[in-house]
Amino acid sequence: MILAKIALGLCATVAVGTGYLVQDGFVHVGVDEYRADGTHVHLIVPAMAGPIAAYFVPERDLRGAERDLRPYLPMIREVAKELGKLPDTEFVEVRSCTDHVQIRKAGGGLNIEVESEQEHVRVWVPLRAVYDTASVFESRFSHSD
Amino acid sequence: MNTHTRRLSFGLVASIMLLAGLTVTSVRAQNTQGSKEERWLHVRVDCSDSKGDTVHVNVPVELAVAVLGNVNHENLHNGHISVGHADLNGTDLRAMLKAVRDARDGEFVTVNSRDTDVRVAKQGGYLLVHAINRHENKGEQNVEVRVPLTVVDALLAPGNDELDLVGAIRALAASGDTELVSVKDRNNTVHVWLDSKSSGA
Repeated sequence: MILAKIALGLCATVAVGTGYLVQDGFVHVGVDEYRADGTHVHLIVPAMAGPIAAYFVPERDLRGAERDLRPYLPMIREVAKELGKLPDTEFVEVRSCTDHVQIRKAGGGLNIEVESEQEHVRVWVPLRAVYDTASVFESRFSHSD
Repeated sequence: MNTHTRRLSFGLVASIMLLAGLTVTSVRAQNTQGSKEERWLHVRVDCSDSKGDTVHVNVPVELAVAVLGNVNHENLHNGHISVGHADLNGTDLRAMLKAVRDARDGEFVTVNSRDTDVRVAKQGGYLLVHAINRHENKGEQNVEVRVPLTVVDALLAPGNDELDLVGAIRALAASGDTELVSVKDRNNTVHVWLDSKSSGA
């Protein structure tokens, strides 16, 4: 009976943890090279990993990045917030005879896609995760002042 | 509690937790959807040469305001750009633009030469610039720029040493659907315009 209760607790914890991790969706990164021995990389990472990683960056490394990162954090946060209010749409499209670049909002995230004769690169980042990550960094910088 | 009931409990709790997580995600996503009408700045470049390159850029005005309003770098702070050290060759830009704004509609500058024609005029609340450049190899290039005078006012509002970029963009957004820049030559066309559509088709 005790084992059953422990198992129930574990299941509930795993379920809650899973729900928390997936609530912001997943970051997708895909790289496909068209040559014969080309690289094919497809990464799917829970978007919540961004803010969590930002929270646990060691203080020493944070100090090193502060000068470069801090001035842009409010802008990144606001851009993510404003983009979140918009419907799915295309922001940039560049088309030439060899390349095709698209930056658009799709399904609550920012999608960047580059198609050329050599490769196809696709990155999708949930905007909520971008907002949360920037907010965590801002909070850490302001606490360390 | 028998094994079957325990398994059922595990499944039920796990399902409820996952459902709760997904519901929170869904509600948060719905809350971020805006309902007010957006204004969009569009840039479209089309090259009609053999390469056929095209560039389409669609930027929501509020996004531009959010970006510019939050940049604090060098001369740009909170949407204001400092021009205190700008060399205008002794020209009082503010007085000049005020004179243009207060003047009646009409043509202020007309230059006609073999290579270039330039016309600067004020008409219906807009400052209009029309230039034609003639190149021996590239043919004729036609440039038209329309700037609402309310944008100029907003730009110059803060004071002598600053330009209010955010204010100018807001004034631009309030000026209705309008074509701002048009450039045409033998191989390329460039359009910059403002409307309420998210796509620049």
